[in-house]
Amino acid sequence: MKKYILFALLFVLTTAGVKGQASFSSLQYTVAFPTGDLKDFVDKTSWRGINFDYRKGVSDNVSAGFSIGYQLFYEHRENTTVEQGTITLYGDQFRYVNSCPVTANLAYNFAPGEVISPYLGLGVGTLYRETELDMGLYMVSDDSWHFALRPEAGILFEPQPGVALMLNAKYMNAFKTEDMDAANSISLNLGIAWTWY
Amino acid sequence: MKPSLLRIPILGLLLLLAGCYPEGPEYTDEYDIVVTNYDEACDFKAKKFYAMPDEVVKIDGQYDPAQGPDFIDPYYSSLIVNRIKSNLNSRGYVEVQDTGDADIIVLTGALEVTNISYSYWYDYWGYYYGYGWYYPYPVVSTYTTGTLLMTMIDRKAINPSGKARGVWLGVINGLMEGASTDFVKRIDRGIDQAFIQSPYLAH
Repeated sequence: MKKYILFALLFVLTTAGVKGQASFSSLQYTVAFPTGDLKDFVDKTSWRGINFDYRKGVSDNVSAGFSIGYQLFYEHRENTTVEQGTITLYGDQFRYVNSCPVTANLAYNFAPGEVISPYLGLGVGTLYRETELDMGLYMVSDDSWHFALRPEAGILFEPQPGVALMLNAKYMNAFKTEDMDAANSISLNLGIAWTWY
Repeated sequence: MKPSLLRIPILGLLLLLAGCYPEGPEYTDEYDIVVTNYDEACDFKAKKFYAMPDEVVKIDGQYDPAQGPDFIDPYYSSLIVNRIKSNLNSRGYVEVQDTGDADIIVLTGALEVTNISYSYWYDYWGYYYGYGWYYPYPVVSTYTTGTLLMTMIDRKAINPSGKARGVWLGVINGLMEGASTDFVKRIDRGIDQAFIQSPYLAH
């Protein structure tokens, strides 16, 4: 249910037709590659992700805003063996990591107003993560909040004022907590942006 | 493109993402698990001779010592017992008929549990109908799980209260669904796996 609420919220935010100046909102489809500890838990590319960005220009080149997203990492590991002391457990494992990053962003735009406009950005915020491991009829799950830093680089392709294509790469650095490993990933994002000045 | 037209591909993308959430296991055997545990103090290589009954006890919580236990279907009993014996024999164990000659006794038991879940989802209809509706009974779904327990007893390690020490345990657990041929294959595979992941049992 939570994912439907999130998607509904993203839909409303993206299509609400917000008025403003030198601003844009963007909805992106995201593909993410787990790295580090996250890769140890789920060693599969995630093709299930979405991200919403809102930015407002604070100068010609600099914009500030926020970003919210959802990414699901999933892996079916067949015939796994887990040993703990004298106990050995064998079976298929189904691993899920639901992650929801929320960050405040700053971006520097190298060519504002041009058809092709590259930019660099940095997001700071949090990542909420739900981790679940199913084996047989049993399930172990946990959830955690991580401090997150997310640098990104991308381009905005705006053939005509108002609508643009957005392509970027992000590195999500969700730091480890006392109880949970880090949840780092690299994502490629492609989406549509609505711009207004 | 007008904003109203833009909503169509966006909504499609969101529904697509929401609809492709992985559902986990697709086949019954993907729920199967095998668990083994053993006593580190036991020298399995010194235990060569074993004995085991030809029947698998049905564990139903209604055991009456005066009448003895119930047993599972002889067809499945035979399959299970023969598969266990085959694994033991291939690892150098020798079956004996007289339990007095055995170093270890292998006992098997099976447990069947039906899980019932109730669903009272009629409240949700209030949003559409205004005043809701109800079933006079809950909607019920069930699934049945089966567990096979294989226990190895050290016949010569008797404690002061006269009970023998359990030195190895193998547990196979899964859904009791699917065709009987698949069911037999899953039992065989589970028993084999229990021995594969217990290399200390080999002579």
